[in-house]
Amino acid sequence: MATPTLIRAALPSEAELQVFASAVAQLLIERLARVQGARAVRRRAGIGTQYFDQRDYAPGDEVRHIDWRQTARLRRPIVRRFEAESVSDWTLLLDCSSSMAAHGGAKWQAAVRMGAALSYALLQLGHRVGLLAFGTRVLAQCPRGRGPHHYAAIAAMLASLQPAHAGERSELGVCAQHLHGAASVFTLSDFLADQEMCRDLSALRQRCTALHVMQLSDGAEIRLQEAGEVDLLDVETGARMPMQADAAANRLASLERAAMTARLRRFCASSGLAFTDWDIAQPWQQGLLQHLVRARSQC
Amino acid sequence: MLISLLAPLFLLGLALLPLLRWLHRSGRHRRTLAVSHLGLWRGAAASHATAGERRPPDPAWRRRALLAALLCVALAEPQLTAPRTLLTLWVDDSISMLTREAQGNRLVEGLTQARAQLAELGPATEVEVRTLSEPWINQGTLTAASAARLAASAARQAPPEPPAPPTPPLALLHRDRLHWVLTDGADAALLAWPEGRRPDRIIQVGSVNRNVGLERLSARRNLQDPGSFDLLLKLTNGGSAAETRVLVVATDAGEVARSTQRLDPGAALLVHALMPAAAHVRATLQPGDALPEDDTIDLDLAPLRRHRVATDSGCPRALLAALATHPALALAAENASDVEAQLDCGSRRATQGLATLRVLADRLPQRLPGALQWSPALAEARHKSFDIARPQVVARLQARPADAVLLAIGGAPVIISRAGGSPLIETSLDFAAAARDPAIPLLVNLLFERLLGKRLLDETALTDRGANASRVVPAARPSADVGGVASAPLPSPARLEHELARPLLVIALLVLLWEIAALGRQWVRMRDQPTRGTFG
Repeated sequence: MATPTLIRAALPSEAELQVFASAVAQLLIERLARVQGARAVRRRAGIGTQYFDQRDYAPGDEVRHIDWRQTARLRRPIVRRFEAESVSDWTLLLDCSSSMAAHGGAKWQAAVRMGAALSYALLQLGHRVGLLAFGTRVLAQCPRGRGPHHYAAIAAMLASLQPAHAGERSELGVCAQHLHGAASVFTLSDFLADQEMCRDLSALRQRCTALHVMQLSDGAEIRLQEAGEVDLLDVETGARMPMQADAAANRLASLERAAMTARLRRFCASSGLAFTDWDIAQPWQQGLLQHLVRARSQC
Repeated sequence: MLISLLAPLFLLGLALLPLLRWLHRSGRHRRTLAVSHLGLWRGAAASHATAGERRPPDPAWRRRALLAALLCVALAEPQLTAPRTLLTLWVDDSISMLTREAQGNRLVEGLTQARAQLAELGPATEVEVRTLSEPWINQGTLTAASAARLAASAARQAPPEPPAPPTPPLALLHRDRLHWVLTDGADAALLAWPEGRRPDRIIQVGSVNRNVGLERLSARRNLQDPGSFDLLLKLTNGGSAAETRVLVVATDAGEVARSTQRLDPGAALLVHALMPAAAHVRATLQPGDALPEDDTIDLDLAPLRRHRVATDSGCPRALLAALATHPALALAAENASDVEAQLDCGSRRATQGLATLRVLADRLPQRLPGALQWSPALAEARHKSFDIARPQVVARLQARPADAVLLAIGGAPVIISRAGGSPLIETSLDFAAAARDPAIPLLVNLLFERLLGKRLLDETALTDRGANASRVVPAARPSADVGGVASAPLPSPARLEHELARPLLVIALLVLLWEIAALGRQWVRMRDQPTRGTFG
């Protein structure tokens, strides 16, 4: 193994980000409830400051929203409704474990590029975006924010993050206590912890409005470059295992990885989570676009 | 080629090689590969384990076993032995080997034959050449160049003086070597080796059988005429036929004698001649024959010349008369420059640096009581037992510590050899009173022999080539030895032994370097690998 070096992920260029943001803008707007024969409009009632319409008071409505003038005129309690704002909160969970740095850090670089692009696109649409980098614990956190300046903060944080080359495990569950308020969560990880990841995803699901699962797969992690007698070293746990490296071993590893992905996919489907297995050999734009389309169709 | 072991017990160490393999049973030091998740590979590892595959031992055991085996074998001190024949060719380089034959002289012809016979023995024969005249000098192998050098050397040194010992020294007759002799067989003593040893092969050359040579030439002063020399020549017929030669004796001034001599085969003849004193004389036999080197003999007569002594007019007449009658001394004028000694009787200024006999006379003659006491350094005087009758002294001598008292009378020194740079003898004897004493000439001879450091009476100049110098026909000896291998059994071939331990140790060193390099690579690999200490 080569001497560990810093893995610096190159962020997408401004032009790439803008093109991608415009392409996925429609996919990132809050979906409206559509009824048969109705025209899809983008305005709806909700929590906001812009007056939308008024209706009869119902128990549980905010008393401060009662329109006293209309109540006096119509002789029944009328409350004002305000136009719901079309923006929401997003939190990106970025796996910063040692497995992301393995094999030259290709997965880490891909995750950083995808996270930056998603943040840029969301911020362009006015959403508030936050970032959590996790390993065994939360390694870095960027609070939710809005606007182009916030992208600069997220980009700076992404550029400064550096996964440990060994000993840093993935503990997705540690992010749950850092999630506050209604937010959509987008998780970028290789999900190599299998059962533990499913448990943690279940915990996260309770703390967010929507949970996106983006699994990063790298062909190098199931293909050994050496042949013959080797000792395999798990970069996260440090465990060793002797084995005979050959094509058959690579094939078995590929099958094992596919099985893990299938289990995770089934779990996400059963839990209503948007899941995508992204082979990082493909462009990040393609992977993210497919995921958002799939998520739009599921929700 | 045979391999022998000096310490074979060390080979038992090879039995430990299986133990070395057993110690490496845990397998090689594997390369470590970092993977993202070990769970991906559990299936592959389990499949190999369940297949019952046994881990082979660490291949490094072969390298280490090779190193151990090399050390064990090297400690056993193996030696590679190859049969080798050692041979010494003894070359008779006496004057008879210079006899002209059809193809050069006998030495050249014999060396050619020897080279041909040695070539038949093959390259496993290690040959050294020694001459009988200089047996202690190894002339090296026999090649065309060395053969030419030997022939030229023999021609230069003829006639040999003194004659070389005829047989090889016993110390050089090693029993592990073959000994061949190249000779013409003219000297039978050459084959009479010590302790009954015999040459393994005799290469005999030569077919010429006629030669007359001058064996010896000697000269001495004529007793009646000190200005003449008596010559004695010895002629030898070394051939097998009667010969007649004309003997010519000549000096630088010209021919002084000529005579015709007839010699029977094997006979020797002594010829006397009288010649005037000269510095050099040469005798020649005419006509020449196949061995011209012994047809001429030269003699340097310088040892016979008279030594000039500068006189002093003040010396006693008895002393001067004794000098004048001495056959090896000649009186010279007081101021002569080409003198070798001088008399100093006080009337002339003595020349510095010359051997001097100083006669002191500063008092009236006095007879000293007591007997004559000769110095042990003059043993000759006691042997001659000459005594001076009623000696008188005319001076008083004092001996210094480094001086040698040659003669004392009653404890008083009479003749003293003074210590110093040039020889100086002082005497207080009264030569005038002993003028009629017959011992005076002998005493004077004794003193001048000590002054000049040499014997003066009975001097002889001699050139002697030895009794067999002119013999060219083979001497009688057993016919079985002629031209063939002797009947004595050949020595067992010597063995050329090569030490194999050193190359084995060199190979072991290379394997050790290989092992060190492998361990270094392994260490570098392990250093680069992450360890648990860096986790978390």
